[in-house]
Amino acid sequence: MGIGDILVNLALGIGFGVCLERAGFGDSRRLAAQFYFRDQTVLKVMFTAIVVAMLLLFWSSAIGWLDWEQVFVNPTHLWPAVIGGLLVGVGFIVGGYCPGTSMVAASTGKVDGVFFLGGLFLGIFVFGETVAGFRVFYDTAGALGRQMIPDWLGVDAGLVALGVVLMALGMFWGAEKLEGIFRRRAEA
Amino acid sequence: MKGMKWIGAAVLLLLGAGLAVIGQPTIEDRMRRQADRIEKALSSREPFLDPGEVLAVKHNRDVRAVILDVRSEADFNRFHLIDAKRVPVRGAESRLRAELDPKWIKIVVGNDEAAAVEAWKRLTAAGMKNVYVLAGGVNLWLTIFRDGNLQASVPDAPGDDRLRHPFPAAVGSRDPAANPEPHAAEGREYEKRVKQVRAAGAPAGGCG
Repeated sequence: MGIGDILVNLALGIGFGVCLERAGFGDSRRLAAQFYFRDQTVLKVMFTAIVVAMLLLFWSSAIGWLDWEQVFVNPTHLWPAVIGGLLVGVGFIVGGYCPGTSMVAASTGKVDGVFFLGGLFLGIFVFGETVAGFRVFYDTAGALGRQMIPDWLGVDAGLVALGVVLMALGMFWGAEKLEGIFRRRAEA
Repeated sequence: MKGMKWIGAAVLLLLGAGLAVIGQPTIEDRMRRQADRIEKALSSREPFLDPGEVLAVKHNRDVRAVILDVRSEADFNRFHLIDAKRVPVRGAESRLRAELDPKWIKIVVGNDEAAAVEAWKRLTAAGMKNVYVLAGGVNLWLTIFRDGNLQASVPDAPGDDRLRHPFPAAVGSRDPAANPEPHAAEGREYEKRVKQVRAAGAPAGGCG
């Protein structure tokens, strides 16, 4: 990795952190409120980012600016992903942050963010020291390679993109309804 | 503010619907877009592996090689390299790409070269890495490892993709030439093409 790559990665990382902070993701109360349906900002911001990135990627591919097949897609490791997802979810509810947002909170001087970050590094260390014991499971359980929804369904990626947009819009609408209901309950 | 939300939703919906209508490039579109790169690689014979190198790769424990046989079922039954998989490539490019690890060496095999080159083009356009073609196809392989003509050269013409070696029955991979000894190509001169692929680190991802 050359200095140019490092600078680009640094700029992207800082930009991502600034976006998270400006969206209010440096506040664990706001993040935790997601799980109690009182504040759906996380869902709306993250899903908007996903949908916009998806549309930009597939439009770039459709008009020939980008060869989608050359884009690296994380291979699917189904069972490790399910277990890892559950662990991250539990950690998110208990600690109030996910890894990226804890960085944002710590960098803005929040003490809970600093503690969460300490736990994060401890977790990375423990994982690194123990992964040899479950390496086979980690590498092979539910290993499906480069799985894409369009290939799985046998339809064009454009149709899937439209489906994801419709799903996002439906979720935004439902999220706002839920926010209204649960906020009223909290205030009552 | 509410008006902005509706405008944003409408823009997303419009872009999504547009994508659904125009769709993504097909394999043929990608082959057209990459035609210059593909032709350059083929004219320099970059993806062609000499039978000697294919044998070396198959016996190399540091790399995993997969033989993709694109010939007809009849020819495959008559003779094929040991562990070869008969794969009709057309329409299966994405599935094959998902199933075969990018680090594995994929060698496409035909009777001569034309069908294998066509399959190589499709797989390469689908984004598959480390794909090669058996130079001279099964016909040259049999000339070397069955007939014992160790210095047989790769034919200049692409050939008609017919199996030209007679077999009394459908022997599949039971013929000794399907699995030659590791040193069977010793003395044969060829240019090595396979780039040693180092094991990559575990892929990383994150939610932010």
